[in-house]
Amino acid sequence: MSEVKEATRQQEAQALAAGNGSGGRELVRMTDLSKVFLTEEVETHALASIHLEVREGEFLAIAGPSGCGKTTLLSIIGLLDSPTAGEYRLADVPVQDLSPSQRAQIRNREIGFIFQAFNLIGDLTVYENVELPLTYRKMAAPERKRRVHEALERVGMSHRTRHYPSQLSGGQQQRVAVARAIGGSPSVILADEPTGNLDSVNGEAVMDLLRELHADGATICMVTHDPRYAQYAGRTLHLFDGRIVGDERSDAAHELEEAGFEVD
Amino acid sequence: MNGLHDIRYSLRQLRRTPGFTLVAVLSLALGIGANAAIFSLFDQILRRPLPVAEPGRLVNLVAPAPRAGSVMCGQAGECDAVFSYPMFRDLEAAQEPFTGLAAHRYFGASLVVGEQTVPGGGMLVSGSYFPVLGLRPALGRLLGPADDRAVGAGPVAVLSHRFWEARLGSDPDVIGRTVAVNGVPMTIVGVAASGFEGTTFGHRADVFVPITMRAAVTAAAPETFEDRSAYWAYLFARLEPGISAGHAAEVMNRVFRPIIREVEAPLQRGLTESELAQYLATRLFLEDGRQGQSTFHDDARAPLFLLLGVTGIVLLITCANLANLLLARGTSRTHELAIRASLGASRARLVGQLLTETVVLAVLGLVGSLFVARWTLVLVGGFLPAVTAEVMVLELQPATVAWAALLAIGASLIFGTYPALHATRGAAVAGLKASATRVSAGRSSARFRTSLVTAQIALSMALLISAGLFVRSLSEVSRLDLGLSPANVAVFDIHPGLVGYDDHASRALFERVEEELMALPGVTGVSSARMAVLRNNISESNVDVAGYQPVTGRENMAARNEVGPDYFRTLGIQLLAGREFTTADERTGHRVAIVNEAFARQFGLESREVIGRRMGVGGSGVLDMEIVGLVRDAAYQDVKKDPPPTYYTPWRQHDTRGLTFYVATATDPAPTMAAIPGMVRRLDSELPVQNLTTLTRDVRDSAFVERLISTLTAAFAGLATLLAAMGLFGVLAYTVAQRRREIGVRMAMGARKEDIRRMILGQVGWMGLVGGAVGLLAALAVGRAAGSLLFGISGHDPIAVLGGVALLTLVALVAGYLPARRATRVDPMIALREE
Repeated sequence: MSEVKEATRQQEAQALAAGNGSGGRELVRMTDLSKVFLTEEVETHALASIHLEVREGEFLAIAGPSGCGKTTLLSIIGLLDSPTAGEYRLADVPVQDLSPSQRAQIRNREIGFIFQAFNLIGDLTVYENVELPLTYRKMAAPERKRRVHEALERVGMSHRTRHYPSQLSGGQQQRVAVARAIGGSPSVILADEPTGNLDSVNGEAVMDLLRELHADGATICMVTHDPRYAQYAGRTLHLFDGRIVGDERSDAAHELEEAGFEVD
Repeated sequence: MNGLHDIRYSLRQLRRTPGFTLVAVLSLALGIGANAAIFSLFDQILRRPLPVAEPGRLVNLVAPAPRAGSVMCGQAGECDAVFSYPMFRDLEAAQEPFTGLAAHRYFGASLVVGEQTVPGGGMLVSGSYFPVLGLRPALGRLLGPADDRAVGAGPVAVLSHRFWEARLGSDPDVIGRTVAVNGVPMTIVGVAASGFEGTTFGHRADVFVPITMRAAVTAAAPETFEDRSAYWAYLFARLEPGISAGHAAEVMNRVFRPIIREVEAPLQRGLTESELAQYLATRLFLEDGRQGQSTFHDDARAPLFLLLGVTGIVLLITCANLANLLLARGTSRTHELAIRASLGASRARLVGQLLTETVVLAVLGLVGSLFVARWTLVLVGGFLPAVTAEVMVLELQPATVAWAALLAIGASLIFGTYPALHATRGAAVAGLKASATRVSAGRSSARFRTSLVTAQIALSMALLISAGLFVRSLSEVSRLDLGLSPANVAVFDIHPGLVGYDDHASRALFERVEEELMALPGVTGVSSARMAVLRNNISESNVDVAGYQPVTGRENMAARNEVGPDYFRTLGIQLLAGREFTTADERTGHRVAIVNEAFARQFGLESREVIGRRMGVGGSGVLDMEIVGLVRDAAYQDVKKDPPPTYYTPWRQHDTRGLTFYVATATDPAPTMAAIPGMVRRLDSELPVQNLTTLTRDVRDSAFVERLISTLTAAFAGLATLLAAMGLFGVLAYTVAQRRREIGVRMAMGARKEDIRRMILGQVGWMGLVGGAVGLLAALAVGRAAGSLLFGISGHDPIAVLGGVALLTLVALVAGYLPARRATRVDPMIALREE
């Protein structure tokens, strides 16, 4: 336990030193969090002793082999799932005991999801897909329209508003999914293997988009098992058998330069 | 080989999914069974032609016109369809466009063969009757022109095949034996062909006798054969080959119209000027006669078409359910079909396999439907008056089974094809390919399914509102003030004239019966009438009333009935002024009459002036009767018809050989009813008691059409709504299952449970709104079309409409609630992980 605390302190220090936005307010704090799945005969420890802090502006990659608990951790961060034990504070609010309705409200306002399988709704147009989270927020129509257009503009899909997802390529669909995630200006974007169903060209395009969003101040937590894409993040959390076995921070400025961005 | 293999595999598949199989088979059984039952009635009453050669060439004669004199109608046709006997002979002589023209009339008969006395029915027929029909005898010969040459001559009879079989054991030596028809001995000359029981549906003939024997076998006066103002014969003819009915009518009118103008019009008395003008304009029309001649056809047409339409809608809903079930099943078998395709099965082969499964389902549904049809027919039989039930075959017949089979196979192929095509579309690639990217696919099938359910809701709405209209209509009929008190009144008929009694003996018997009935325990009143009320009987006469001048356009016809003492008290009809008849109102006394309020209104009488006023009948102007009483209007022919202007006279002042007795009791009339046959048997062991029932039952039977329609439409609407609810539930449950991932996405986006619930129920709402609106319009159209079957309410009765809307809304919400609740319980994390 003391090792973990020590690691956390080191991470904070590194983050501050890296200057990649992790100096912002604390968005996610998990303390000694665990998740156990119970079936009739088997007890599976999906996560154990998770201590994690994510600060505003961070780009966190969660890496590890299949079944190590990456998606479970992301689901708990996104309030899609609840921990079995431990404490989880989102923007300094304890969230593990909230009602389903309160969790839905926080999910809607604070979190933007990007899925591996895009998960666009086939019966809705591109515009309607992006608008969807805003409708749950009961936002006024003109404001919704403005935000949807901005989000689609941002991902370069504003010319496809009336198309249905089935009329788009995989890369385009994922860009729409990104637009949907950012349309509501969430505190944190959670991306679960966002390039998993894309070829390398489209995959890199999506990663570039995420990097641009991060550069503009977005907080991103991304699950990936591809080391190439983990490098886009300023910080990589390594999971193995449900435990954090490493928390690396890279020099963000260095990475940005390597990626061809000008850094002041 | 493939076929047998497919059938075996289908049965195995159906066994593996008992829930699906049960719902599909049950739906088909209910939908097809209900339809087949109504088809059975439709087939018997409206579709099946007479069992004669070329029935399509038969035509019935009608001549719409006011008729003065004696008109006896309502049996094989309305009053436009009866002709005088002289007119029949005139037309028969000039039958240019016909191969023959025939006359007929049914009569109630008491038949004695050997030791057996059997109440039954007889048909008075002209000698041309059997030749025009083109029938051959089963035994002996049929009646021919030689048998009706002179009035009163020709005491010969032909038996119906059914009577010969049932009563004479198909005795081949029956020819030459004697049958007594209403006491008149007649020589049996033949037996009609099997299946032929006359030309009037609803009146089964056991014996056919020459029409010239009418006066002998019925109470009709012999002079009716000469009287051109006595209308009683129904006529039909067979068209010459190649001659159309329109042309034939034109040719016949060249004969008919001069007779009307020059012979009959001068004989018409009691017609107003306008009525006479109408009479002079009378034309002859020819109607389709392939089914014979019967008021039953016209009376049953609208209700049967309505019920056939209703069951058709139930069947459509069933088929929509089947299509939905098959679509869902096809989707769940995509993987299996893909494997088959990858192993080399062509799409046609896969479609064939799926259609085989559907046909196997249909065959199972067909078997169930035959039970449902049988039970429905038994239910229908319970509503029919005894006389109607007697002539109907309430068993499954080959035509009904064939119809049910056609529906089952047809429906399964029509509604199974799209699901089969849909399930096999791109089977080779779609099923095995992992769903790499998630967008909800199958929009066309989802739209198809939603459209089906929306259509089901529309049809259910139309049915529910229609059922509401008929239930309301029945309620209005039930609430009618009949003007009489039917409770605790037993009713029965005796016709001593049919077993050989003359007028004097009949009168003596009636008086004995009255005395004996009064002596029965619990009896509080006894009376009788020549014309039973509420059995759709009416007999009308021209009436002259002192001080009344017929106004142009108003008739001076009134219904007449001959009744016994205490008649109005026994039936609970209020006496407003004057007195009842008594036993003192005898043939030798001065002639008296009691009239009802409608009569008083018709003849311009104020109630204070009625009593003591003179009146006469027959249009002769002789005012030989005194009105001694005024009674309140009371239901007469039918509970729904306004009471006609009616005058009553004492039966003791007439010759009457048959009466209907009314026996009022203090409590339940059942014990009295049980005692009546024995009492009559003690007076005459050979005199049958007929139509023993209660006045309450007569009231009920009088509205049997309303009761039947409202019960069946309500039952069918309930069934349709249940099926639609099942469809709605099925579609929503399937939708929720298919959209689990989407629901998960929505939850991830921040949708709350109530948002998800609202989304699912919103789908119900849209389907309900669109389907309900279409159904409402359809229901209003049905209400308008079925206006003639509604009583006391309009086709857009707000209570029925609102009731239907409320009920369907409730059912839709209940059907939608469970899937909506299931949707809110979707775990987004699990849903998003699902492949």
